[in-house]
Amino acid sequence: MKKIKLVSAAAGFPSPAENYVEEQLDLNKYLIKNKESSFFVRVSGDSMINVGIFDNDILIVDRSLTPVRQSIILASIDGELVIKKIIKDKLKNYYLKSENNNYPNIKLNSNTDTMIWGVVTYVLHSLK
Amino acid sequence: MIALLDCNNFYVSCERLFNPKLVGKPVVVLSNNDGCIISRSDEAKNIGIKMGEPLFKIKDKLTNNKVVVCSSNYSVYGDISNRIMNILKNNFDKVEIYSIDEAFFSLDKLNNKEEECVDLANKILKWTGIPVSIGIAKTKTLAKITNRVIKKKNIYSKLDFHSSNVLEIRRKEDLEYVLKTTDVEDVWGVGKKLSIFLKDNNVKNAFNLKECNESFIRKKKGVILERTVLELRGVLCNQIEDVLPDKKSICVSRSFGRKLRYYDSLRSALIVYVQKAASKMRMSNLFCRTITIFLKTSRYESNLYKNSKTYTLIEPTIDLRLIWKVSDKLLKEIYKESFIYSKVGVILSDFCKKESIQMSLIDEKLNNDISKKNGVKIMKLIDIINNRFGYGKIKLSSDCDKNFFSKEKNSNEEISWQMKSEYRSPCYTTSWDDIPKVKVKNE
Repeated sequence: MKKIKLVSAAAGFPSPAENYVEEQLDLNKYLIKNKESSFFVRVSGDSMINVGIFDNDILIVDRSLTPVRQSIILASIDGELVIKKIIKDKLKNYYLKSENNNYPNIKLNSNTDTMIWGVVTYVLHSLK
Repeated sequence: MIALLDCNNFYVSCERLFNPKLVGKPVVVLSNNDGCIISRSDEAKNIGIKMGEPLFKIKDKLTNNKVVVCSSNYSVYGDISNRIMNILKNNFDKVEIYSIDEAFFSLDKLNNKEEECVDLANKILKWTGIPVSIGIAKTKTLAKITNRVIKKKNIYSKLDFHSSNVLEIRRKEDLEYVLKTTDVEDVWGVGKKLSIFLKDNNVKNAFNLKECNESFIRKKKGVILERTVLELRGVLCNQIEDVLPDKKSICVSRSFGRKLRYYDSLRSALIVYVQKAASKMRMSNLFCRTITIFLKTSRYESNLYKNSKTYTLIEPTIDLRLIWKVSDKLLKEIYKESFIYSKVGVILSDFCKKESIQMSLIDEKLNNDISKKNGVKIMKLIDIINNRFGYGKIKLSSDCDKNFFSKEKNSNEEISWQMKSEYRSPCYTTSWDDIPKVKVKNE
């Protein structure tokens, strides 16, 4: 049986790169700014293709961020978790834009059954 | 000053975070094996559901009141708890994690204590979605009592609350009123047994206990209760222990979902517990010398039997293979046919760190076909692989019960020893298959 080495011992010449070795890039560090407030969710449905969110994509949601205009957010509407975009009208009222024309936009702060859960920061989309 | 952070209805709050449908509804969470109620939403408390009530006794009440019942889902609760404790540690220097949903922390050297605590509570609510209460007081015992007051706000409406979830009882007469209305049984560290003795001696509430002669208490019930008396007076006795003491022992045991009769089924449960215990031990970088196996029938059984056996190794070990070999041997020795068992478990103890191991001159009899040299390396390798690919990917070959580590709920007879958890929610934060599904359209 082949032995598996846990620590590779140096033999021969030391690598000329040794003094330049930096930590390998870590996707976690890049995608997650706040570990304590970040969560993953999976998308179902494809009516947000226009903003780059496809069916079955994984989203990173950060609860610590405050949403602004055009933010993609995760909201809880009537007990359901739904992805929405925040828009502002001329009277400076904020709305959750409905991707379905049959439904009106939801005015924020008008409905206690609507709550912002967190702000979507990244989309993980597989090309396979 | 000491503060106690306590998550409100913690397990229910976790369930609600990922399932907002549960907000505003009566919800309860059950203990392991779906036995008793261990967490209740305020709505469930108002219906009159008591803490610790067995599920089978109140099934009708739950159905009639449309109470949502959840099995406990510790992978979610543990993850959310870690997040909360990390936020706390990042904001305060001296923190003692007291339980999954409670932590003491020091407020010394702070000017605006109450404000800092309000900020912390708001941050935790925003970041993790869990509502918390923070009681501020001179001692741990008083901080516990203060937290109780926050939770029973409606009874204590005459106290001036500056915020809904943070409280420091400043006025002397307010504290006296609170102590007089706190049953002595509800004082931290007293409990049922001691309260019977105290009540017989006419000590009925926290105020009575505070007024007790401390040397009388010490003589009768020991130094721990004396400390409680002093702490009620505002004398700091229990410091915040922010450095965890080394573990003394690790026990893994669970009641079976269904009672077991045969040796093989007991063995297949035990091997899972032994692997869990050994991996917990490795996480703390410890070696153990003593292995204990215990076995018992349910106390409601007509044929009662319980037994345990301990084996002490000559030299401490970290090697799972050796620990299992000993455990397997011990189980064989204490197992008796014709009993119906409800529980089996393993205790690892007598720990030491690698540096302080005394090498023995003679070889262990049980150890002779396990190469000692590679033990540490192999265990490390198992942990690395299991960390990357999921717990249980590498396990002992005797552990042939393939179903244990699958996350699917299974009603198969053969694995009936597994815990009952009929109403468990998905592992929202620890399994890619279970992360919350969100819609992009509401219709």
